[in-house]
Amino acid sequence: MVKVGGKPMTLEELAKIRAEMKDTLSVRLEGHNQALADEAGISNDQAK
Amino acid sequence: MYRSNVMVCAGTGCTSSKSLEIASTFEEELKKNGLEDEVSVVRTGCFGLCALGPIVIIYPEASFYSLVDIKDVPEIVVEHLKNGKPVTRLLYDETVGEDGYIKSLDETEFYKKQMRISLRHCGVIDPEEIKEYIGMGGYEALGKVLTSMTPEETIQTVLDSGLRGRGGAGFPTGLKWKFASQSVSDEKFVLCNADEGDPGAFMDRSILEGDPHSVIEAMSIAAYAIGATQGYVYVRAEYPIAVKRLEVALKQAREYGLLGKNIFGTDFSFDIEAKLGAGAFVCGEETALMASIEGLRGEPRPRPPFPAIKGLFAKPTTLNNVETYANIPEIINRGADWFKSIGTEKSSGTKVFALGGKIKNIGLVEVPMGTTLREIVDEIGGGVPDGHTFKAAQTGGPSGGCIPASLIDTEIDFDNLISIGSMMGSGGLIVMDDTTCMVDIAKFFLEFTVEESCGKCTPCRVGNQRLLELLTKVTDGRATMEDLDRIKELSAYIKENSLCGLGQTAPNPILSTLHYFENEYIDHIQNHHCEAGVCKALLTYKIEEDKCVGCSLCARNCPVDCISGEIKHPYSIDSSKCIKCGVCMDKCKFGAVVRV
Repeated sequence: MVKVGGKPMTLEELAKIRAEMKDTLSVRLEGHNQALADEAGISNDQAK
Repeated sequence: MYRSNVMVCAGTGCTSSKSLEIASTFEEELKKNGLEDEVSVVRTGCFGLCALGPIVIIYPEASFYSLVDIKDVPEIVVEHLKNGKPVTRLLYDETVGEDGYIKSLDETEFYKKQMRISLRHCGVIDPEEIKEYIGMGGYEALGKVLTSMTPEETIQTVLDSGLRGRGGAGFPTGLKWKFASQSVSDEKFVLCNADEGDPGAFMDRSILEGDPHSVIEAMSIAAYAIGATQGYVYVRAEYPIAVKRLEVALKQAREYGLLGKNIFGTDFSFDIEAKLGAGAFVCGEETALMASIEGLRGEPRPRPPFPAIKGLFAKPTTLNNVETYANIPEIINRGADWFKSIGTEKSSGTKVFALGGKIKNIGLVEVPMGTTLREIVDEIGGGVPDGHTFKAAQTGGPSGGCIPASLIDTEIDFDNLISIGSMMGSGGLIVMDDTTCMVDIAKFFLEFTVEESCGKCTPCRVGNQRLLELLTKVTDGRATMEDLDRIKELSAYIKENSLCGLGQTAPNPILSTLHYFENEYIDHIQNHHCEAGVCKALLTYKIEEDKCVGCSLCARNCPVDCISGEIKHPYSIDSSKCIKCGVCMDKCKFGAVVRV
């Protein structure tokens, strides 16, 4: 019944992917992160 | 690393408003402005506030752009992403403070009382990218149970959490797993019910569209707990985006070795297949669902034996719905006590509701059990629009009932809803205002049930049809008080004698509206009057001569030419030809057309 899948992943490999994705996801995880926004050069002023 | 993420809702609602074209336009405009290496565009699942779609949220500052049009995209790219100034006039107005400061989404009325567990990744990750799910901690719960917990410990954790099935009846999930684990068999199955059929409910669709891996991971955990090797997700073909994302997720999980043989190097092997349903409401009933997977006609069968003993292909089977599964990884990762600390004593955790009907903020909301109906309707939902007043809320779809305004402070959980004559159901929550006729609402749901009855048992097939005929007599003004007694008697008989949950609960909307709004039934019967002005047979349109200026606008717009008169003289309506569409009343600028 079980189909042939990829090579079983190890917990270490899972943790490695998670670590690799940390930077990618951090931009959106804070919800409203003005510190990151400041770094990105985004003002909280109204657009004129 | 990208400095900004443009999150575009790619759920069914926003997609139907061209959100995928909006995402592509963002990519084109970013490229034109040389920003393609700095800003990424992510197609996500549902953000929840469907009434304001298409929605785009730009991180890290979480600027919430609502009702976005393709022509807005170049301005957002240049002003916001290039020049660093969010385009305030295009932002969801509630996120912009008086001083122009952009508020966090968590500060808005819609989001601040919500707690997202089942929907935790919807709108946050790309559902077609397994690495994003893993990046959020995905598959760690599966790794944990496979490498450090026994099946018994896994079941005990789910039992201790108090998680109850989110599909309708609220049966304890851990208990269901325990029964299936205790059945001895050479083969067992784990099923996911994604056959979401209640009118107005779309939470399961949204989870599959926005976070399919959470369901795959949870089903794998359930399979380990009960000793199953094969799973099926029964999902309706009417959900093409959910089906596609589920298929993509299954393929990726296999490629990563998270489905298949010897998962995480253990002895546990498991795979999942998507099975498409044709949209029959009865196939949401567990035995009919299994019959459909087996290739048989989707009809229920008597229980016992229950699926935990004799389910799919006569093997022990456990079945939970999408939302129930979506909670499992969090329960494993954060512990039963954490989950139990949310909600009420007997209904732990959160519940997702699909808010619809006469309410401002139509969409998906997830709140802790015990949140009051008032908080959901008035605060999160933004209240009833257009100056009308809240009359009732329908929960549980065709199986549920109405909660009247007098009970708006009821804390919503499984047991409280049952005690007031309704039920949780899958989570559709339809708000009704003073323009809603409660007899008509009961008739609407019964028409649905009659249409969807599989016909296998007589009480449901014939009884509900007779019930509908009696209700139609009421809305047509032909019923007697004896008919009202027959409605009550027949409803009780159908509930008692139908084979499955569809028939057993079909009279609920009638009994509930009768309980709280019997005066409306009596008004229809004795006075031939529909207070809400909905039941056409009881309405008459007429033109008040002293207000009519003879402009002819009503006559020119009447689709059946039943209005006549001379210019600058009062017009009149021929009631024998009038189809009571109300166009004349809508068009009249002088309030001369009235409904009596």
